[in-house]
Amino acid sequence: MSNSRTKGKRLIPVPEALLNGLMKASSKEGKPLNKYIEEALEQAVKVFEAGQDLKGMVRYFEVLQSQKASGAVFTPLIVYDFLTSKVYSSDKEKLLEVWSNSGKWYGKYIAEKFANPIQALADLLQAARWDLNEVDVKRADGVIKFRCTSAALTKEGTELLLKFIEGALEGMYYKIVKSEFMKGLILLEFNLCT
Amino acid sequence: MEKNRKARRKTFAARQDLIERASELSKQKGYTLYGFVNELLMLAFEAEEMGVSLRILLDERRLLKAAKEASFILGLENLWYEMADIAYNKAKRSSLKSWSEAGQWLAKSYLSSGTKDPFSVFKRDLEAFTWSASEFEFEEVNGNISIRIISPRFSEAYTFMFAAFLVSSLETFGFTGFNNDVSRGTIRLRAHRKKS
Repeated sequence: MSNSRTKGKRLIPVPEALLNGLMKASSKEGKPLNKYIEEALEQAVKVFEAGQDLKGMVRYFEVLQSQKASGAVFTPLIVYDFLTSKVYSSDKEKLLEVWSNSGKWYGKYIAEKFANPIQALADLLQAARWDLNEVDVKRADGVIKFRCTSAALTKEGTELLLKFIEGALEGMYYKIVKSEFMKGLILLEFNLCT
Repeated sequence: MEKNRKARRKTFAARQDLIERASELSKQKGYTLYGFVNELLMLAFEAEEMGVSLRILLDERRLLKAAKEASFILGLENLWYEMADIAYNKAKRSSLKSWSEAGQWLAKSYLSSGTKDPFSVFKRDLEAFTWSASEFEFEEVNGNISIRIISPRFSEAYTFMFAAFLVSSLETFGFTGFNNDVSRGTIRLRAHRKKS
């Protein structure tokens, strides 16, 4: 690679077309080109150092933005576990209804917001619920299969999450044809209501 | 052809340390430094084209990572509030206790994390995690702290439980002499550092 050094700096060759694009972007932000490039390069290095790819990060960003817009809040896991176990033991039916209704609202919300709401639901669950190990969506023989696994979820937590997902699918006008759960595992099959 | 390609290149001066980091990454990925730097710049340009800056992408990722490390999960607020209401109405004392324990646990996890200034990190994260509140102020001056959180959407139960969470986490960080003013949607806390 041909490059030369100035004091604490190094000259890097860049294709002119790319440089022109960066020049337009820098003037849009009102920054000098060199400063803009150096910042962009620094951020891009961090993206790679974080082991991320850009598309993945943009998708993550969109997920987080829509979570914010839908009124999502952070809650300590220890509190969440307490709330589910406490309320589940005293008001199970009410709690299941609350989760199902919340899921329905959420389903309608993401159906409005995303072109592929099922994938968005899977992405949102994966991004927001890190107690889940896997959220997988597959399409086969006209049926959509949704699989969710977690080593950390309690039986109560699994059932509540199932109600939420079922509610979300209903909110997106999907018909559930199979629904199964056991501690830490949710299996759902569904198709669009005709 | 080679001559033409060279003619279409320009140069820019980048910080030496940055190029060294890029060089390290390029080796790991089996790229030439030139190819890798250009790919990084292309990536930054594409992000801008999508209307998102890489800095924002990284900040958001950092927020989720911090929340995950602090064992916070993300859920719909109406769901949390309804569950909090049911639990609080059924068993007020144990509900408050669970939030207090969560606050204590969280503060201890920051204190034991090896971070140079765990209280500042806690403060920064708490502010980030409380994104749904319309107002959030957390000040510390000469060992006196003042917190003001206003969120019209908080239910009464959630407000009291969140206040219990804050008090116990601050106690664990060594604050005492609490002066609390809590009512639905509003939390005002004042305390000072214990004198050693």
